[in-house]
Amino acid sequence: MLIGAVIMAFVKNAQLAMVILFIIPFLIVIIVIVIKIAFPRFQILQEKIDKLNATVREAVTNIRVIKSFVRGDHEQEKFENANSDLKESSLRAFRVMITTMPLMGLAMNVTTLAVVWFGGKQILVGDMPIGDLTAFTTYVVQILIALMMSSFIVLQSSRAIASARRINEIIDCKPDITDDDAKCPEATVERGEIEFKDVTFRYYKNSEDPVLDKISFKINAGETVGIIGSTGSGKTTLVSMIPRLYDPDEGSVYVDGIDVKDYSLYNLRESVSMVLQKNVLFSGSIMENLKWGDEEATEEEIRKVAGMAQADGFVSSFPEGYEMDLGQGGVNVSGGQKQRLCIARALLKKPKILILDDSTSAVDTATEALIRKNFKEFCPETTKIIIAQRITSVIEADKIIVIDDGKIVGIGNHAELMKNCEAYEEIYLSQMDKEVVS
Amino acid sequence: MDAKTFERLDLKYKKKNEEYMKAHANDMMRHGPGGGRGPAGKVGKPKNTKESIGRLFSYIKKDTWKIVIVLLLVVVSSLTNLAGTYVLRPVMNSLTDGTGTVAILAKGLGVMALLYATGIIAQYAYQRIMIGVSQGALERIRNDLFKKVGRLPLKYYDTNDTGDIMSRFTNDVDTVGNMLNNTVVSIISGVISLVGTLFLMFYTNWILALVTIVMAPVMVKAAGAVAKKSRKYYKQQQAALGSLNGYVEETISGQKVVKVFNHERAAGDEFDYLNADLRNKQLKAQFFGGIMGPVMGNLGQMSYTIVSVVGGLLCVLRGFDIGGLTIFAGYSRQFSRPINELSMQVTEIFSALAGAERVFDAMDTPPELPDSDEALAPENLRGEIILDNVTFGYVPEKTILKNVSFYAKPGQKIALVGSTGAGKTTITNLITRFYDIDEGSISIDGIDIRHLKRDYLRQNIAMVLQDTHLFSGTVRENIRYGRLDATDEEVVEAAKLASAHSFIMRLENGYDTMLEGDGANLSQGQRQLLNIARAAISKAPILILDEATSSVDTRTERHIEHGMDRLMKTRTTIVIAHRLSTVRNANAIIVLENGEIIERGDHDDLLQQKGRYYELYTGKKELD
Repeated sequence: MLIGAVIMAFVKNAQLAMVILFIIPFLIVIIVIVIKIAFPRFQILQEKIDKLNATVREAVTNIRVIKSFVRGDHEQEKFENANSDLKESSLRAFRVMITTMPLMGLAMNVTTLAVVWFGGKQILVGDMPIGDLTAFTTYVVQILIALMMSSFIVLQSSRAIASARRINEIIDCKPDITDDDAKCPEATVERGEIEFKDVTFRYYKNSEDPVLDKISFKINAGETVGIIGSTGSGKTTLVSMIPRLYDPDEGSVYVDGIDVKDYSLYNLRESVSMVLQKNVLFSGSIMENLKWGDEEATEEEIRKVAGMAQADGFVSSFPEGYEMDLGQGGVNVSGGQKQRLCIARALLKKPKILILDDSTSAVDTATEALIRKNFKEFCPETTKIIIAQRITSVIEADKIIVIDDGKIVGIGNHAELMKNCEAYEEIYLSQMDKEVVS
Repeated sequence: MDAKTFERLDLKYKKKNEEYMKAHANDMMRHGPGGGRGPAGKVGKPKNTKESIGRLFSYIKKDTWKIVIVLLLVVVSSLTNLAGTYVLRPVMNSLTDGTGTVAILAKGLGVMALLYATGIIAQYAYQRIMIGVSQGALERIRNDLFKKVGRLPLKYYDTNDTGDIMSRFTNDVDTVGNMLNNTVVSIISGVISLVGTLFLMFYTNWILALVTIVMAPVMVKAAGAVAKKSRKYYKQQQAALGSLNGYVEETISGQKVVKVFNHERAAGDEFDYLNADLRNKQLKAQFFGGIMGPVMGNLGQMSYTIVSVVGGLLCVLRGFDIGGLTIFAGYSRQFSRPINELSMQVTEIFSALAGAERVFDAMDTPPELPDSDEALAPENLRGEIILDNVTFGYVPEKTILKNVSFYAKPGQKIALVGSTGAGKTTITNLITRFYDIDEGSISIDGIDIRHLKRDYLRQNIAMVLQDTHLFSGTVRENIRYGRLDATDEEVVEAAKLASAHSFIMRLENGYDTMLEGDGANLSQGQRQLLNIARAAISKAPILILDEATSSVDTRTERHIEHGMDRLMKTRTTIVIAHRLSTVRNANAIIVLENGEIIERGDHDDLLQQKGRYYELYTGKKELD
């Protein structure tokens, strides 16, 4: 419509049409200037909105703390600051935007006036019939409306561009763990032998104390290994390096003698099952959740692994059994039940390496012992790594690794460690001395 | 994605969407494009229109004189625009009948330029003022909302989910903001333009004016038909958006699980499915939303053509002036615009009022009862706690606690043990008056807590909860949250007491390390230690530890035991712990089951009784 109208305008009266040629650059300049000023302001605005939302979210989730420490006024002050920041930046952004309408109106009116002025003079000297002027004004109006529409779209996009940049920031983020440089992408884990060589890891590149400091040890295929150590001593980080959730900063991790970086991520993770400390189940039925381990698993197989994880009993007691809906985040089962389902899910993968990261903390000791017994009986070839708080969980392991402050302070079985590892003895005593052992 | 996967997903979500559509059948009845914003914002139709409008106006009352100026400026800008165009008539006529000179042309255009300039300046001025007014009002609404929501009883937070509360601050306030920014001004300028245009049209030529008006109902009908169709698709779009958002949230929070199960492909497939579904529905919704413009535009063109033809005939047959025809053509073009705009504003207003109502709803939820005038705040509470036959239920139909009584002398440690749902946390909720009891009484230092000032009561209780809540800010600020006037030395001392000092020193910037998003860069155990430090710094005589060390390993727990002992020595402490080793040295252990006390005594007593506690302690029963 725009192009058609421009052509018609030139055909009708080329001289008058020149007016349009003047107005177009004017409009472009306006748009460019407005965008140049508005764009960074909208970016700031977006950040302020995030900030306000974060403040509200924090206040809502932390309401018990706020109320019990009687810090309502303190929070109100924080919110009001974020709120007035938001107002100021909205004003700054919108003040630019509102200039566009009047400026567009100005362009439109100036054009109309110019056309009537030059056209009128032409008519007065008799160069142009009046009908042409009428037709011409119509074209001009049409051209201008089209131009204004497109300018508006461009202006609106300036806010969209601010958002698009934020999206691109994420899209452009390079995953730092990839298998692009894997030397043997076809290799799969066959036995499940693990070796750590001088592994050092820091959460922050410039922090002085590493979380893990020159860790070296070896686990043979099929062994059961316990890892024990105080809060924040780096146990979870350590085992996370086996399925490459983290990569070591220095040193290497080998599985079956091959650096984990040389496997394809798929093959590596396919043979390593990890039950995380922070257990997550997804909305859907129990069956659907367990099938994460193996999409093709039959019901028989599922019942078998659930039995091994001591989950078959309580699942069967639900009226809908394996078809029961877990709700978002698995809210419909208790903590201990959730942990057992997560173990079953991991077992279904038939892994070569099974890692349990403090994943039986809510299961009672008797049930836990049964689960451990099943592991021994049904998957003797699987390498099992158990991180635990309770010493009873690891006491029977072939090997126990004691970690303190990012260093290995003892490796050996229970008897050995009791003899020559002070930290282990201390942990043992903290749990055993006054307790009655069943 | 293979056909099988697609089929499976299709089955799963078809059912879900149907349920959504059924549940929302009555929503958005009056909403066209732009009706629903965001998935969490349920947009219903407003119920108390009059009251909501009144309350909205109370927020801009302060700026009454500004609004009066805005209204005047709106009138000025609308009228000058109409008048500007009208001036063209004599100018054009002078050009036609040969009486025109350059001077007349110049004079006419001069007047037009003046009128247009006035209009533009007025337009800019009122927009600028209005932006100030509306943003100020939004700020006040948000502040009010936050203040009111902060005073709501915990029950509100326990029964509404975070997303829903959040959406009131964002989606709902935004819709109100849109209305304040545009609607009022648009309506007034629309009405003036409409009336003014109509008047000038009739004044110019009544026959042509009648012809134009006949076209109006056709346009309104057409607009209505399109809007109705698009509404249906907008609703489907909202449902699809809801599913997609839910899926993203769940997958991102479970990202590690997705990784270790090699589930990236499957998760990607499911996302693709939901995304495609959303695209299809959005496409339809946007299509029907989008054809509104062209449909109206074409109807406008038709009406323009008819006007031109009839106008031309009138010129020839009845001596209608060319200038008149020129401006009439202009007016008839403008005529449809205010109609469109007004009809769009109606949608806008309905969704804004619905939003405003949700905001006011939250504000109107009764807050915690204010303290009575006689409420006490005696100096130096010692921390003696007596629960006397306390009975309580969150909802009347379900009693959680039945006749619970116990007595804690100042400085004593009382442990509450029992499975999930036994009512342990409920007891702490009652002592802090997060909830008020139904029967019986709770007293501190012999004063019924209902007679104490609520803030004063809570100031005297320090809590460490299982869900470790930290605030964005530095480690130091987080510890100091327990007592704002604590010195830096006291902060360090509290951290040492909680055995948090050594790991804090290992953080990037020690005590000045920023904690982001609820302290995600710390382990669960470390966060609990910080929570303990925060409680340690407070000087409250009563300490409540609700699973405070559940994520701290036993050895660290042993290490902090000394500090905890010092912390508890001067305070009356109520401990809830899953791990029974932590409650062994309590003065009294109370075993709860289904809201009733079934056993009580110290550790040795209870072991001898060989009851429930013995079973739990020896690991024969699972606590859950």
